Amino acid sequence: MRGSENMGIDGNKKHTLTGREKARIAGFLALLLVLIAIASALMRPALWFDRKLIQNRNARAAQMRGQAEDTIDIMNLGDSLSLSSYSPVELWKERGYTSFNIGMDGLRMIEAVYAVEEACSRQKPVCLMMEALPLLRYERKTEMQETVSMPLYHTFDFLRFHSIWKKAVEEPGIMIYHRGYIVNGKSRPYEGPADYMTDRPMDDHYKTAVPAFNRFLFRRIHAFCRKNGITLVLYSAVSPENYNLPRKEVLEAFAREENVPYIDLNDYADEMGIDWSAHTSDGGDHLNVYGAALNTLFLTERVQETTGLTFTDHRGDDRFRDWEEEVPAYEQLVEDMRGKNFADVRKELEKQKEAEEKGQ
Amino acid sequence: MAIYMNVYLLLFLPLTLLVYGVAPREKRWLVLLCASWFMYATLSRWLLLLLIATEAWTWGMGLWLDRLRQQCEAQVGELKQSGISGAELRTARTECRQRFRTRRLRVLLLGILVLLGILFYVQYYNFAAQNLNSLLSRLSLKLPVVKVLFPMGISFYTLEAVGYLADIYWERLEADRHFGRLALFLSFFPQIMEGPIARYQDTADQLFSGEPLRMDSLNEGFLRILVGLFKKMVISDRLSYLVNPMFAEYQKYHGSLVVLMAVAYTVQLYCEFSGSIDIVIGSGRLFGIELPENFRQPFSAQSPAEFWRRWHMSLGTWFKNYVFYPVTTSSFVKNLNKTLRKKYKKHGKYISMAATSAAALLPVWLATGIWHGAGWQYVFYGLYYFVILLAGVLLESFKAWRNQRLHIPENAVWLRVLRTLKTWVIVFIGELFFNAKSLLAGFHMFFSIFEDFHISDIWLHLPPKITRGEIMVIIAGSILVWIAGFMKENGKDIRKGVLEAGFPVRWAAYYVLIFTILLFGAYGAGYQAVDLIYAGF
Repeated sequence: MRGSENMGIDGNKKHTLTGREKARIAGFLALLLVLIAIASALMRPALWFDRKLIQNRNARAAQMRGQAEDTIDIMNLGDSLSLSSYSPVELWKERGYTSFNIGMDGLRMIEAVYAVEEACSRQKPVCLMMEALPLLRYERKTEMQETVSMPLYHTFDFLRFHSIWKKAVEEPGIMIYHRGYIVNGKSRPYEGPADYMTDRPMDDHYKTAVPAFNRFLFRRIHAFCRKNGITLVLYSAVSPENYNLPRKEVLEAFAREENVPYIDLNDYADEMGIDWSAHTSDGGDHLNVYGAALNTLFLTERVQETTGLTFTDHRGDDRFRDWEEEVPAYEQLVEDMRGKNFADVRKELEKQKEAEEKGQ
Repeated sequence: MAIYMNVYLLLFLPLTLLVYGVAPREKRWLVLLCASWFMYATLSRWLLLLLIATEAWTWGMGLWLDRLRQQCEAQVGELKQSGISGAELRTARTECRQRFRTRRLRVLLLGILVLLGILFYVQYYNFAAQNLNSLLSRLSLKLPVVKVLFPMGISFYTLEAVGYLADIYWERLEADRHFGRLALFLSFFPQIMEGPIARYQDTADQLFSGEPLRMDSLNEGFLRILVGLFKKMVISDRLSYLVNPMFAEYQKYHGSLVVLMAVAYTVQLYCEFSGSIDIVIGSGRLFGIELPENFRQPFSAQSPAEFWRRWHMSLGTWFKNYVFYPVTTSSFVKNLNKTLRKKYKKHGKYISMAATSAAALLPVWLATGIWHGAGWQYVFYGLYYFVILLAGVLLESFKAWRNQRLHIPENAVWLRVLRTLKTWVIVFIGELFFNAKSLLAGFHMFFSIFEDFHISDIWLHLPPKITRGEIMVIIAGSILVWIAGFMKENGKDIRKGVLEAGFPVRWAAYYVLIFTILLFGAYGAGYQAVDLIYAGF
């Protein structure tokens, strides 16, 4: 690959790349792509490592790949607000509908696009419920970075799951996902004003209007849904820490402009039965498992009312036996997690380990 | 967009390279300049205008200085032709030159004051205002604290601009009449965030010449970028999981853990800074441009002075050229030297050497400290090295005497190892203060080294964000970097060896490096890339 250094009249190295050298560069890059593709085939989740080992932002996507084809009717997309407030197993227990949380903490809109497209590659959901807060999340540097990265991560599993080696030298992750939902039994009351949907200022980094880039990506999701016969619904999860009246108005106007139904659950917190002294895990930021149980049923019903959609009750259908089997494990976990979350479980384990090591 | 981001590495750099490659040679500098300004706009948006204004100011002041020189020469020429001769001509010529020297000095000072004034305002105004306000709290005087936008790379391009004007003043170079060439020198995109701080004479012509893309420089640049990414993504970024939480909650740590913090931060800083510089120099090499080196195996140094000749070399060279030498050759230092020699006849030589060294080193190290940021910990950092380096100068003759008396060979291996270890300890302590939240925090951490020193406790108290697997990768990576440095120090350059090998070996080396970075590097969905430490200075 080293160039033959032609000398110009003045003795300087004059020539630019020869055709052969260009071909070598192309060959090098092509071989690199082939090698990464081979590595990606080897790095596929469930090929030689358990999906449960993936405990980062890719966890839900990896588990979604393990779902039987065309079995999910409802997809819930969003950041931690949506993930903590919607429990698919709870919905199955009560209504027999199948759903899955496909979001991730601090979801960015570019991630949302890829999450939807990936999840729908093996599923044909009827409805996509999207929590609206990610529309107001925008940080130029990160968006730039993620926009370049996402196509690569979604093409090459090697890049996406590369850090799995960490699990080989430490204990596997402790979090348990139930169709994308993580049980959180912790309770820390919200002590702010009962009527929080007012003009009160919000002390956070969210934008006051939907940035053009996010609007463009939302339209991409909307177009995808239209093409695949999926009804898209925008909603705001109950959260005094994240919503106020101006924010609701911005999102309401956005939904109107984009011709998408919008449900603000903050208007229905009382109707839903949310008790702010018991149903939030962190003082009104996120719901805990008890709040999520109420929210899941309420939101699903509200979506049905708003859109006129009907979902199928799959209970008793043999294809969905794994859902039925999951219920006792989920209920046991809810019982075990009473008053704590997985961070507390991790601390307990660390203390235990520390005591053991000191004992040695 | 920063040099470590995939937007830069996978899109911006290849695209710029492509456009550069197909552009006609005489327009290639324009491609580089547009790319540089574009990248700067993505970093600091409208502050690009400040960068361009700085470039225009530097260009204009340079031309003014040059014009004064030409006017001086013209007037001296006229004097020759005016018919006067002998002593009268000499006196007239000296007077003329003196007059112009004063005018040129004023122009230089104006140019530098504006450049440093902007730097002072964005970097140090709030620090100065806060300190003055607390000093003058009893008076009703209060300076307002303002919100200032930080133009990326201002500390770097300001020093380059000041150096350029000073060199014109000292007639080491002629002012550039081509604005584009000077603008490109000050804003070349790989360099703008973290340096290296270049001299106009060294890089401006290369940047402007539009060298064709060549396979050997592409190879060199590509390998250099990979090495930089390895240092940054595999070692430094992973170490930030350990270092950042520990320094943020320094009160929780004592003894061995504070030592670990100091060592880990030093490794992190080295791999981050030298890794970024590898990416910068590699990016330059792709275009056939040779930027100055910034590191030369600093951990092989046997004294703090040698360490600083190997660490952030371009900053050291700048301070040497534009602060140390001018101070050393100033009339103040010359007079001081003379006076002390006269006054202290017996030890006059030694005392004057000590005094002149102190007079020359103090501004250099004070400026080095302050250049790194607005905070008393940085002032202390500079003074810390000032004291150590001055002590080194003062003890030089004692060391020679001791070695002679005790028959210690200068190059004994044990002595070299001991010196290297001593240098490491000095560097670790310096970095502990350097990365402290405040000077008080620095002292707190330093003194807590001597409390509860239990090496066995280290594993139990590491921040939860870092895993044992990551620690193993960091240790293995650091050992590899150290081995490569050690071999280079002993005349075996692995990088050069790879470049000189046949293409199958070279390709294999590239692939191994790429896959190591992709497998063990810190990146992924939602990963917040660690900002460059020196880009904040």
